[in-house]
Amino acid sequence: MRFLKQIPKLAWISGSFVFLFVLLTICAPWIANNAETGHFFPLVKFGPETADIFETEFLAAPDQVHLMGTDYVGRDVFARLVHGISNSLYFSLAVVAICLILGTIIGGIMGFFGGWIDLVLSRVMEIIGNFPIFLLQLTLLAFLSQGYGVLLFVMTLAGWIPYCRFVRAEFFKLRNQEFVLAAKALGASRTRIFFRHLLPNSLTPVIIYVPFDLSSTIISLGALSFLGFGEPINVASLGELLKQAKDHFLDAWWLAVFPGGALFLMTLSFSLFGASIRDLLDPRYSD
Amino acid sequence: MKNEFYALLILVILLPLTACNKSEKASAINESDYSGPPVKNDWMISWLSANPDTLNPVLNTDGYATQIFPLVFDTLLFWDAMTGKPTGRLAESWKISDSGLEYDFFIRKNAKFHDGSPVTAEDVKFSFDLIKDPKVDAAHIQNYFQSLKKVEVIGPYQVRFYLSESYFRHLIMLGLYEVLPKHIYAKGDFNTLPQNRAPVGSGPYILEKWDQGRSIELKRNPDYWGLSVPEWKDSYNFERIIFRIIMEESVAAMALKKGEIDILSPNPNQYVKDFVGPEFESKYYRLKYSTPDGNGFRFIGWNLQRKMFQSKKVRQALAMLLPREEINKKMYKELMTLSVGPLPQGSPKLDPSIKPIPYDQEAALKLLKEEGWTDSDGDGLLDKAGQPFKFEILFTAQSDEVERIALIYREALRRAGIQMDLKALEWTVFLKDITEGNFDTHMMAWGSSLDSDPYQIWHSSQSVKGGSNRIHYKNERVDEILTIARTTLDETKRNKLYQEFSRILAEEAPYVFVFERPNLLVASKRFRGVLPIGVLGPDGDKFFTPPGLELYGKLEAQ
Amino acid sequence: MKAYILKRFLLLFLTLWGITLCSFVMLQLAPGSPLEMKIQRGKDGSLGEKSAVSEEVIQRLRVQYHLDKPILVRYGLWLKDIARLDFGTSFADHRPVISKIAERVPISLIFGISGIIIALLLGIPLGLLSGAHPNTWLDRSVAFGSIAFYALPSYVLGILLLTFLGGGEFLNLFPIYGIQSDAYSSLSLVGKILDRLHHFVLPCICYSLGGLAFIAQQQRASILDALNQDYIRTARAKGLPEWLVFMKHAFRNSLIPTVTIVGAMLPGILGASVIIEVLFSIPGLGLLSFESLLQRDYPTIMANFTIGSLLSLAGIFLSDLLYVIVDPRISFD
Repeated sequence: MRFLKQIPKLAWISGSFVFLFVLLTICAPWIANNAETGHFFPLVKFGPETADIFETEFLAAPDQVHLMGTDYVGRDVFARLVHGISNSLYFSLAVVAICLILGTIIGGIMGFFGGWIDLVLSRVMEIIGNFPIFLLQLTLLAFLSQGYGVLLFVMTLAGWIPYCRFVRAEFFKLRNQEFVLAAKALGASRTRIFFRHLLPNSLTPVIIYVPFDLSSTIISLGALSFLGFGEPINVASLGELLKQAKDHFLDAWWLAVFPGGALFLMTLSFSLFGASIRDLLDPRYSD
Repeated sequence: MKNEFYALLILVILLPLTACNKSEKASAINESDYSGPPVKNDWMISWLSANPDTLNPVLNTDGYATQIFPLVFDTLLFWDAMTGKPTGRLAESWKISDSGLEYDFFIRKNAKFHDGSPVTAEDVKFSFDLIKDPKVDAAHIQNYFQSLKKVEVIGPYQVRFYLSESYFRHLIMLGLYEVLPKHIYAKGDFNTLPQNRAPVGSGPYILEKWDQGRSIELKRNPDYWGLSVPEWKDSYNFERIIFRIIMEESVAAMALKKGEIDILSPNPNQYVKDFVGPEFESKYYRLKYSTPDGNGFRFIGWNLQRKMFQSKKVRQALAMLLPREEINKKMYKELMTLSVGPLPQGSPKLDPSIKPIPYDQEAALKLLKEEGWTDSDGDGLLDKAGQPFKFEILFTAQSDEVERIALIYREALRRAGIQMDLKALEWTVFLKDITEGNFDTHMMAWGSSLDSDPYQIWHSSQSVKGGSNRIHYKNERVDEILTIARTTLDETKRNKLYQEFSRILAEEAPYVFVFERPNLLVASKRFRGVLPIGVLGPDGDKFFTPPGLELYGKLEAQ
Repeated sequence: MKAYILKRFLLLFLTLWGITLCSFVMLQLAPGSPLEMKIQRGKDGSLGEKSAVSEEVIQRLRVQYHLDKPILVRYGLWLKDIARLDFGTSFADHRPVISKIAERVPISLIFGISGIIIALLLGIPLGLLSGAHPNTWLDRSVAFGSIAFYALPSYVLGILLLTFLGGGEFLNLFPIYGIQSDAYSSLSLVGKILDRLHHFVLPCICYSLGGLAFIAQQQRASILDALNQDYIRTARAKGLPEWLVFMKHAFRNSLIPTVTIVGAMLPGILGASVIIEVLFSIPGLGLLSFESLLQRDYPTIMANFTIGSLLSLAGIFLSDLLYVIVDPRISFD
């Protein structure tokens, strides 16, 4: 319990928000759904992708039935918001996971072998890293057809680079440290040294980076949808709601305020949580 | 930095005040208050939704610059907005040979380009010859002018066109083509001439400034030759006509309300959403008018090479499943007219007995059942021979309106047990897919033109790659009608043929004809001459500001 | 030192070459042809009467636009032109791409640079303040605020500003598009400046926010770092007043990392601007790249890629260089 006491207030608060968002993500189908199930769940009887086109008004202001109003084809904004949060978190998690694994492996290889492998991969990294990446993403999404596959590819294209840098740097640092040299002297195999000695000890910066990366992935996913190049059409997403808000900002404030607020709260929670974790794990940052 | 801050502070306080003053003045207008001679120094500010690529009418491919061409250039003829009849512009008169293969135009002797040189038959020949010049980037109109064989200069003010076939649209094609001054446009590489950005024509306005991506400003040509023609004496009343380039529609709407734009042709969404209310109507004309050929129509086209769409009943059922009435009510506040065919209701080319297909899920399901589509496995989807009723619709990603209609249609189909997947594509990819027949169905719109010819969309010969019959529609009677109608110069006979054609289309339902696109106009009430509306719409050339209401001319005098 | 700079410079060009090659090949392999786009594009999604195209016409256009040659040959041609700073002619409007870009650059640059300046002018004092009073409420709120600003996407902020200040159902305080109003040319000089400033406010807020947070955080960290150095202790020990210690020793040294960060922020000018420029209809480089994308204007897209990556590389180069110049303790010999 002593350990818990050391965790500052901010970590608790941001942590609980993160927890809430994760809960929301997992429970989205029970929160808003149009499938006819139990009389308590789902809490809101509207699905994110369906609308009662004959009953609801389009772009209707929030009221007791539609808590956050309706969008431009009469879909419930609350339902789309909840599922939008859920979709963007799931998707961003997938992106971050892929980037993390890819970056760690490539960075590990570069740091472990060094030499020409490191040199060649460094060039590749520099080329990708210096691309105007947002423009590249837009170009690829515009010219290839819509879909999660393309989106995933586009978002992971440059996302692995930071992880790669961290791991590579740590490997370089650890390579000549005594415990590694000792392991080598004892005749440990390369694989063993790689996985047992180097990798676990170089993961701290990677872990610290994850919440920040998650936050910025959510932001750039939203940016792509905002310009109309994100998730497939009809999939609920925060960026898509904001895109509608852009087209209707004179008469539908609820399309800007709720999704914008939710997106901000989400990225803020992850960033604050990340900052708290960083302070805990890496004493260099706390004073 | 400090000064900037104070400047900002003052600004925040001052600006709303100045804005108020302006709007109060405008709201005091009453239509009958003013009469008398038009003020000649007011400006008219209009809207362009994108920066045109070029101001050269031969090279131009987008729809934006076409608003500017009639002001800067003259054509041989024009279609009088009031009467809807062809009238001479550069041409004093014209003559069509009995065979319908030779057209003679006699050019007015006082017509002059902006630089003062006369408009001659040589200039006309030069302008038309550009179309066939392999070095000129005019592929888009080359196809269109394929029947033009030769242009001949008969005299300094007489020019003759030789055509390879008789066709009722030839007068329109020849008459509405811009005439360029040869001595200016013949120098150097036509595609990259500096005049493509600073056009020289013979029209009533001269380009003053093109602020890339922001505005195009035209100034009245004080020496316009046309002012000596008695009928046009009261035209061209604005000192300047400015086109503001604003890409966002909502932003343009706002600019109009703030008085920064005087006139624009809104899209239906804007018209019912942004331009409403008594306050607005006290300051602006809000006009919806009909023209014989309409303003184009939106449609959903089935790929008739796909087996499931080959049945007429299935297509009829699918048309019944589009809740157009509901869309019209909720998206357009009943502004739109439900389309019954490629031409607007009321057009003489359309059989007046054709009624729009109402939304009717029951009737649609009945028709589908007759064709063998039922939900036999209880999964909520209709199926036939083990195949579920499932297809994909393609449309372009950049339009809010298309997206909404697609989403609503998807929902309505879902209720009937049909799954339609949506695929929004970028323009080029979309065009590639539909021209290669790589689609189940697609949603698009056809624009319209004066006295349009349905041949290229519906004749079976046009279902080749690059043709516009992308759904591969084929009907022998339709082919026959369209071929005969082309060479029928008598309008009544032609209309009869087209009426039969429209009946066949309504029965066969190869497209879901969604909505007719209405002609819409919003204009400041400080203008007069906007009403009455002519056969082809209001006559913009005749708009004017009565004394005392001008907004801009005074600014300059100060 | 010279050798280091030379080496970096060579590497920079190698990378730039790699980037252009990748983008060129990518564009040429993309499905769909810019020619059809060119011929068939109509206004608001409709196609007109003149839209049918024969194969023959397409073929002629392919030759005209050199699309009939193999990719690598075309890339060679492109490289040859680029060596003379010729980005080719725009597919969309036949204008030299370089002049299209030249007229957009100043606009983006003004927004980008003033965004950075505002971020510096506000961020440094904020960072100093919170660093000078570590672990007080002031410090915590600055820290919180900078994380919050950093987490706030510019498009969310932009949309909210438009909704509440742009004249919808709420306040109508600011113009919502462009960089000047209509009557601009008829305004007096003061009027012109005020008009520009008025249009400037909302986009500029969006531009400067992320940088502001970044700089405040950086400045706080570096002032704390500086205050812990030995020379500060020495200065204090010799009895200098605290404010003098702070200003003369700590402050000056703490600026070093901040200045190097500014170099790294330069490339952001282009990247961040796409969204803000689209949102506020600002005719800058970002809007140009978005438009050229939708128009399939390959030469312009290529130019945008080249300039974007050049800026990014220059940013890194510059920040390294600044680091050396500002801090004489560092050398690369």
